[in-house]
Amino acid sequence: MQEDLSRKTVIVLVILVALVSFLGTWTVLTEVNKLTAQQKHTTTATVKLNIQPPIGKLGATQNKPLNVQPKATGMATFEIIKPPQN
Amino acid sequence: MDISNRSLALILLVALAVSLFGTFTALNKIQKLGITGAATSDTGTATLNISTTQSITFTTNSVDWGTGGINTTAGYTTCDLYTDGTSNSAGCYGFNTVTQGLVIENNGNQVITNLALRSNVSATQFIGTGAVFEWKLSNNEANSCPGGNLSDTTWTAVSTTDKTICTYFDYVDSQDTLKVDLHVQIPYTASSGIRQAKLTATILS
Repeated sequence: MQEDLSRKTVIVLVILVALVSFLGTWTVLTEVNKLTAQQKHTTTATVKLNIQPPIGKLGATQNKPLNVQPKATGMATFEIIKPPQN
Repeated sequence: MDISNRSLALILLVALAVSLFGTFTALNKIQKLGITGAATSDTGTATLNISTTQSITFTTNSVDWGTGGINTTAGYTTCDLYTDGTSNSAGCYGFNTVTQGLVIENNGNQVITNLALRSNVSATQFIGTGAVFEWKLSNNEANSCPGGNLSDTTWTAVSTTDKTICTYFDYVDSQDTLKVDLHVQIPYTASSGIRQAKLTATILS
């Protein structure tokens, strides 16, 4: 008659079965989650630009000082000299 | 009657085999992406159960006009940027020419009857007072959203809330993409700096 297996061997096998079962479940759940993640009900996109200050002066809206000579102001005095009467 | 350790070990080995078989079977079916439940019998009947999936993605998900501004030397007061092949306006300097709009693909296996689009910012929030920020929808592949099911086919101000843009978005590979072109008008009064907007497409049904 064959000798029975030791209790230690049975315990090792129990632990092995539990471990494999746990790993299997975890792997399947991970794959299912990946599959779910691939089904996107929303998706986003971005639009970018970097605005710099305008170059140049805008139109002819600036005041340009004119070089105007001041007019001569003053007073002229005229003396009318009557010619001598004969 | 007590069970011998040898018998217990045998049962455990069977359990181990069943567990491994179950795991590999499940993984194998998952990899087939949606095709599940194949069954055969001695009468030769096979049953396939194909699950439906609704899914969308931006296959072109970025527009970047780079750096630039408004050339006011010649009296221009605005700069217009486009993605539909229209050249940047004469009032622009520096910006990239972008000829490719955003592209949305129906990568599921079901027609989408309510596809919505929104922007996280309005024109004013994006650029500033007096700015314009518009989109224009078109079929990137013919008949992706056929007939009158596609809206905003001319330049339309972006919506900051979900706006239905297509009521029949097909999933067949040769006709399942839509193009979203963009137009931005920058006034010379806009303050300088980096600007970014986010467009979100959503399946509402």
